Formats: sequence, C-alpha cells, structure tokens
Amino acid sequence: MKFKIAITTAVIWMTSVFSTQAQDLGGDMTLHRLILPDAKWEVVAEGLGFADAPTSDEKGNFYFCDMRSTPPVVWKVAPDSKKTKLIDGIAVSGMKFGPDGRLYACAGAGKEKHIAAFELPSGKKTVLAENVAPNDLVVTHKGFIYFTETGKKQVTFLNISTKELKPADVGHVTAPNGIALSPDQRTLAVSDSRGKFVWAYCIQPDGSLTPAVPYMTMRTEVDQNAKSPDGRTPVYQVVSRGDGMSTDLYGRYYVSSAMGVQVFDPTGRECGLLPKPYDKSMTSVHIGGPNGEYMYVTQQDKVLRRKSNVKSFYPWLGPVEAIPLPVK
Amino acid sequence: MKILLKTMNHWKQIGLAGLCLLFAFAAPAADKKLTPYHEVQPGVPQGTLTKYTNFSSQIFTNTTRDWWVYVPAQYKKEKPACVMVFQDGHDYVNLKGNWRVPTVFDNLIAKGEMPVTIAILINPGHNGSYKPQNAWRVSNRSFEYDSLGDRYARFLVEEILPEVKKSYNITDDPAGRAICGASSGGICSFTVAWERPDQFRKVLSTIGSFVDLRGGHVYPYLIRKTEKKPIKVFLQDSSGDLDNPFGNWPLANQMMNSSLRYMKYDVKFDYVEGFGHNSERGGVIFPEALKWLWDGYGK
Repeated sequence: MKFKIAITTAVIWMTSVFSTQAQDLGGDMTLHRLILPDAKWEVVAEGLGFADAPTSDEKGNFYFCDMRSTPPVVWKVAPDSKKTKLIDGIAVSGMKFGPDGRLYACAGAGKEKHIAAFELPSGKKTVLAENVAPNDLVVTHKGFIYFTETGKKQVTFLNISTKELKPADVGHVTAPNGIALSPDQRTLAVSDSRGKFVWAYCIQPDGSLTPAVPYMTMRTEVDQNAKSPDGRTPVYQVVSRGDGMSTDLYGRYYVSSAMGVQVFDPTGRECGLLPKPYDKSMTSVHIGGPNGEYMYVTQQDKVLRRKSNVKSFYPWLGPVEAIPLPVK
Repeated sequence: MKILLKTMNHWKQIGLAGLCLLFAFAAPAADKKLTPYHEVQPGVPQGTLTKYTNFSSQIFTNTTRDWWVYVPAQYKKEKPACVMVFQDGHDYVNLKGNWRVPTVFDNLIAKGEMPVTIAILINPGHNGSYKPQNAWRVSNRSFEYDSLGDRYARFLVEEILPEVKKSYNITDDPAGRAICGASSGGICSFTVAWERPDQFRKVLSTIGSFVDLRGGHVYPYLIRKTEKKPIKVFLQDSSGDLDNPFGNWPLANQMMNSSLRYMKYDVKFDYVEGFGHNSERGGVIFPEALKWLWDGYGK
C-alpha cells in the first residue's frame, strides 16, 4: 500500500513538474470551444439605415429588418447569399417564426404599435395585439408569445390562439430588451439594457413566468466619470446596454451589449466576451443561418456573421434537450 | 519492508536527480551588465532627441508634463516611421541609465534589427501643487497609469500623436505602433493596447504592476474570457520583485503570462531569479526584447 502511495506521489510530482499543458474541465464552455480559429467575420449586408431583428428558419435562410431605409424592409438572405425583399413598409425590431409557419414581428418603433403575424410568401399581415410597445419577442411551440416592452419594464404574454394578452412580469427588469428561449423551452432569458443582469424565468406549463432571477452578470466598461468610493477601486458601469439575444443547442446564451457579444453557459456563468467586430453599437446577436452554424450581429449600418462552433435549434419544431458540446 | 525501503531509496535518487535538473533549468545568477547596444558605437549614425516642456492636456486637466521625441537618423519624411511610446519618459532618455533609448535605437536601427522608429517618451502629469522629490513622484502618475479603461489611450491618440504628426510622418498601422513602460507604466502600456488594439499592437512591460493598485489585478481573468486581441506582448519580471498590500508582482506577471499563453497570444516572458523592483534586468534584456517585438514587422 505504502509502495503504491509512494509511486503515485512520485508520478503526480513528476506530472506536475513536467506537464506543460493543463486541461479544461469537460463541462467548461471556454471561448476555445466557441471560436473557430480560422473563421473571419464577413459582411452579410452593409449601407443599411439601421439593422435589427435577425432570425433564421430551419432551411438556413437568414432574415433581418432594415428599420430606417425608405421604406423599411425585411430582407431574406438565402444560404447562397442571395438577398430578396420579403416585406416592406414596416419597421420591425424583433421577429421569430411560430409553430404555424407564420413570421411574428414586433412593430413598436414606428407609427404602428402592435404585434403582427405574416404569412409567407404572400406577406399577408394579421395584427394580433394592438396598442403595445414591443421591442423583441420569442414564440414557443405551444403558440405562446413573450415580448419585451422596454419602457413599461414589462415582459408581456400573448396567446396566439386565444389572443389573451397580459403582463407576464413587471418591474424586475429595469429595461427589458432582448429575449431568448432555452432549447427545452422551459427557461426564458431577458436582457436589461439599463441594468447589469440578464434575467431568467421558469416558463410554467400555463405560460406564467416565475420565479424571476438575475441569472447572468454582464461585463461593463469602467465608468470613468464615477467617483471611486476609496479613490482607488474602479467603478464599473451599471448600464450594460444588453440588447438582442440568442441561444444555441448547447444551451449557451448570447447577449449583444455595449462591449460586444457576451456569452454565458447554461448555468449562467460567463464563457466570455467577443468584442464588437466593427466600431458601431450592436443591436442584436443571432445564432442560425446555413446549417445553424453561424453567429450574426447587427451593428447599425451592417450585418456581419462568422462561422462558429455553434448549433441552432428551431423552437417551432418543439422543445429539445440541450446537447453537450462535442469535445475536440 | 525491505522492498519498500529499497524502492524509496530508488525514488530518492530519482528525486535528487530531478532536483538537480530543476536547478539546471533555473537560471543561474542573471547578468546585470548592460550590452554593447547601450554604448555609442563608432560609425553608427545618431538620431536626434528633442525635449518639449509643459504639455497641457484636455483629458488630464490641470496637469503639465515634459516629453521627448527621438527621431532616428534614418528617418525620411516620405516614409511613415514606426512609433514606440514610453511611459516615465525621463527614465528612458537618460543616457547613463539602464534603458538609453536613443543609443539602443541608434544601434538596433543601424543593424536593421528593428524598423525606423520614432520614440515618444512621456512623463506622467503633475498638478504643480508641490515640488516632487523626483520625476516618479508627480501627482498624476498612478491615476494615469494604473487606472483601467481607455482614458490614457485617448490621451495618446487624441492629444500626443496628433502633436507628433504635425512634425513627423508616423504610421497609422497599429502593428507598427509599440508601447512600453515599467511598473505602473507597464500595466499602462498593456491597458492602452488592450483598449485600443486598432491603435497599438505591441507591448513591452517590465516589472508590470498587474496588481490591485487600481483594479488591474483582474487582467489575467479578463484575458481568459475575452476573445484574443491582435496584440504582441513582451513581459519581464523576476522573483525579487514586490510583494506588498497591493499584490505579488512576480506571481501577477506569471498569471499574465499564463493567461496570454492560454488564449494563444504572441507572448514572451523573461523571468529570472533575484532582482528587485527596478530596471536592472529590464535594461539588460531591452535590446533583445525590442528585436523580438519588432521581429517580422514589414516583412
């Protein structure tokens, strides 16, 4: 026994002295397991008025809205990069496909103040909820819509079939903005553009949201105008500018922010920060596109994408369990 | 029992051999002698060093500072020169000190071992409310150098570089712009490149204060959780550096090195036994560090 211990100790000692490369734990979702070393950011669209509302379908088509072109346009970008105008005349700040194949959209930025559904390819529009101020939304496989109403500090519930409209959460999030579903559709995450947390809720079977938890802590810049309490320790900004969000099949959360894309693992721990690829403010991030293998960001006049070690999922096809990140 | 003893002896021997090996790997007492690059060499053309006084800043209000510009003899205004900015400039222009930037640059540039580079050597600001004991003791040094964020980078990019550009043609290529400092000047240099890799992409830090003077101890963790930035970093520290209420300099620099390596940065770390919180070791390796930092540039 003692002999064994001596050998083990010696082996451990030698390993610690001579091994040069320590290892990540299998569960650690490091940036090395997100970024593909040779992948570069590429331009999807440029010269835009103001890009937002990125989304995808399961065929690999990517969609976004140029909210400030004349007229505003929802664009479709096919996997072969061919761009076509899908809908024009409506500025949309968030859109997602629903279980009935329609495209659901937030029209809260322009004259319209409503949630609309578009039949494709006809473009036939149905207004589902009026006199609301939606910023961004998700649609579950059950046909529940959750949308953020930033000014009201509210996440609002809308049942597509019954048209039931009611507040789902009020007051927890100072400026609810981006919104995203976990792959199993049991967790809803909401970014706070004026706060430093991303909030998470359990989606109850009846669609209610409880509890509300400040689940992920965003990184912010040092506030250089703030007075340090001890004259020495830096004060970090409270305002993360957390904006559009996305999730992937590995259960990671992606949040656009003042500093860039912030990535969190399913337990809410920070995987890391991807600084903005381009020096303009970022309004959204989206995982999708061809094979669900791209990360898209919208930055005012540009939409960029980069192939990444990500995998998209499609909520309208039903809930799925998050899968483990493959080990290289 | 007998077997066990024998085995133990065996391991003891291996252990001793291992220890000897360890000592063989550890650097022997590192050299404190400066190099021929620090001496004026016959036949090597000498650049010019110009001192400017009382620079007043809009970003660091109510301060003034002295600064210098070194221009190599090989500089031609038709061709944009590389740039290297030094913090605590007074120490780097001292021709009897450990750095001797004008002489070392003259020699390296003449041998083609670094590109034609204009050095900008800047003192930290002083508010004039007292007479500092020495140039290190001015009022604004810690605020300017140890603070996180982009304020000092903005001072360079918005105030100093435009001033230099009035007289000299300097490159806008961030890979042609290096930044160097010791101690708080070291973390300051790293912060500038970290915040503005679009402006500076080469860092030389000696005895860098990656400790909690003003929150800078977070860098090893920020680096691991931030996508790799296009920065090349030379770090120097030694076992005899500071261990005080703000942190342990040798450990902090090892942490910086391991984090930069973990994220696959182009990094080189000079770490030896001994030496204190001074420029003795930094000065000795200065020419080699510059060669490494500029290696491959423009090729």
